[in-house]
Amino acid sequence: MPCSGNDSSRIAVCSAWLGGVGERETEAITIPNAPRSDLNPKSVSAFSLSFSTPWATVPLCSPNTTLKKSNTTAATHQEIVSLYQRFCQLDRNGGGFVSADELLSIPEVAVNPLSQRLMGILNGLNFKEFVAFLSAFSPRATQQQKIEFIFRVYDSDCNGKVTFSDILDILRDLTGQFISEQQREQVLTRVLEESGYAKDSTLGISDFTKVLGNTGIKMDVEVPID
Amino acid sequence: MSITSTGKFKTSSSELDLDRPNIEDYLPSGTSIQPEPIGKLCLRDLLDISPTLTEAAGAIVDDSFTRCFKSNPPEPWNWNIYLFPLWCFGVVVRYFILFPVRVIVLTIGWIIFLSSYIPVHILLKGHDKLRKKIERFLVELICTFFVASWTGVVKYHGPRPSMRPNQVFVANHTSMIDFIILEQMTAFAVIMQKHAGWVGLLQSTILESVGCIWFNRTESKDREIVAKKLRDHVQAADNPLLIFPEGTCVNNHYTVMFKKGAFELGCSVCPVAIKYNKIFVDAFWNSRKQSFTKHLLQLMTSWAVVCDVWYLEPQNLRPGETPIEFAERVRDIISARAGLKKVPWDGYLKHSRPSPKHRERKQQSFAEMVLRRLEER
Repeated sequence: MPCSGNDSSRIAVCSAWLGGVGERETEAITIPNAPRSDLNPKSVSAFSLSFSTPWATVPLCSPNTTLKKSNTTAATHQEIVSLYQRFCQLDRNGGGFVSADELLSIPEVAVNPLSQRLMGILNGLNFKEFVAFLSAFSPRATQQQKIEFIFRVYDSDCNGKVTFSDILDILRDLTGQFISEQQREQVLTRVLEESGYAKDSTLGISDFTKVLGNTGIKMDVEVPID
Repeated sequence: MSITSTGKFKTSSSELDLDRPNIEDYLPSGTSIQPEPIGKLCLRDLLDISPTLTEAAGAIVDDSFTRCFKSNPPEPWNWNIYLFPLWCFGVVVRYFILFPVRVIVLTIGWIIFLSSYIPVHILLKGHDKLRKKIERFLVELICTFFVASWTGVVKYHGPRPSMRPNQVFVANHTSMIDFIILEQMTAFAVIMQKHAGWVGLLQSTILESVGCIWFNRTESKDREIVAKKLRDHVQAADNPLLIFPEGTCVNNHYTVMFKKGAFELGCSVCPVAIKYNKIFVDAFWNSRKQSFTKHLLQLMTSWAVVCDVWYLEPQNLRPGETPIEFAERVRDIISARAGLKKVPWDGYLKHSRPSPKHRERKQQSFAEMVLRRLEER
């Protein structure tokens, strides 16, 4: 449903980022929260759309006065500009997309335990997709969007299901050689069982919402404005 | 050492093992710094990877390492009807009057220098002491011409370096012009990366005479040879030695890790802080983006290069202090004086990947947390 229907509005959002900010308010951009069907690999573009919402639509959602509204818009516009500068800086060969190699040349990224996994998502993104990726970290993104993002990191084959081995892969990245493979499996099996899941059961996005949604997830990254 | 990430970069572990042990202290809050959650391990604890993701995204959006090597474009000030003609006038003056004059000055400098250097070098073969003295004077002279060719307005603070044995000067590094600015006052012997082109030619011919030592960053064999030459030079009561312990040009807003080599020679270390005023031109040499010739041309077409140089109090290794701690202390002094921010990174990471040790430390702390809380009931 959202895959085909939202294409035009996505372009509108994008032009609003990069071009005139003021015009954006006249355009009725209503983007539904990504339904779970978005998580299949065919609708990656629609998926990125749903993630792009916090950056672009917040001014529209804000029920405050016009003055307040324009302030927020300016800040968002500033953030997009900053992100664009950053993107150009990272894209050293100027190809219009960032490669895993370029990103791993940032030492802080290279030492991150999940860097290899994230590179699978980040490799070859253009600017629009780059912003969409980062928008899950916007302070204005909803809890649901953040959970969906985490789900996507787990769901390596993008089939909307997270299996035992998916979780084990992430756990392996996080613990490295400091827990043996056998012990890792034991730990995960036990923890899953205690939460009422079997080893061979798969977790959907609703399970993630249930497990992670109770207490707030802190996943906010401020875009530095120079 | 475990398997490192693939790619064209190779991790030179022997070198990066010298990284600061306290790298986490500098980094923004992350998993390792957050207060440890307590209680029994539950599924949520394993599934919630948000701290690690936040760290990664934070570094992608902005990171301290890339900031060190970013040339900040000057704020545009001329886009207004009154200032724009003024700016145009300035361009004409800078490119069509100042620049040719500077080229002439530099040419005269080279003529004077070469016409005296070559005869001195050939004729005074027998009188080594006298020859060295004159040659050093000439090197100082040509450096003065260089500084004049960008109208260098350099303020030197503190006592001038003296010719004593057992001392080494260390300075922060922004561009090769640091060397020229310091050299015009004192004929330092310097340790530098071997360059290609005309700079390389100067290095291997003229600057040899002031006792400069060249090396190739990528050759690990060079490192031992340089270390030995360093020790020999320091012990001889010759001209003072200058080292840029960062090993790479930083944009003069930050300091990267100081290599410990200069700090384990067992002699006193005299810090020199250099701060450029970016009012007319950014003196940072971004060697990835431009050649040194281009960098010099940029300086020669600007109004002036304004900079402050501070010769600071000599420091000695304190009892019980490791060379790494000593290096860090000297870095503190220089950063404080020049108003630079410190980052924990090794400047050589421009050319290589960080050691897997840092990642392993994060993994270890997570693994320990998991195992400990698994036991809790």
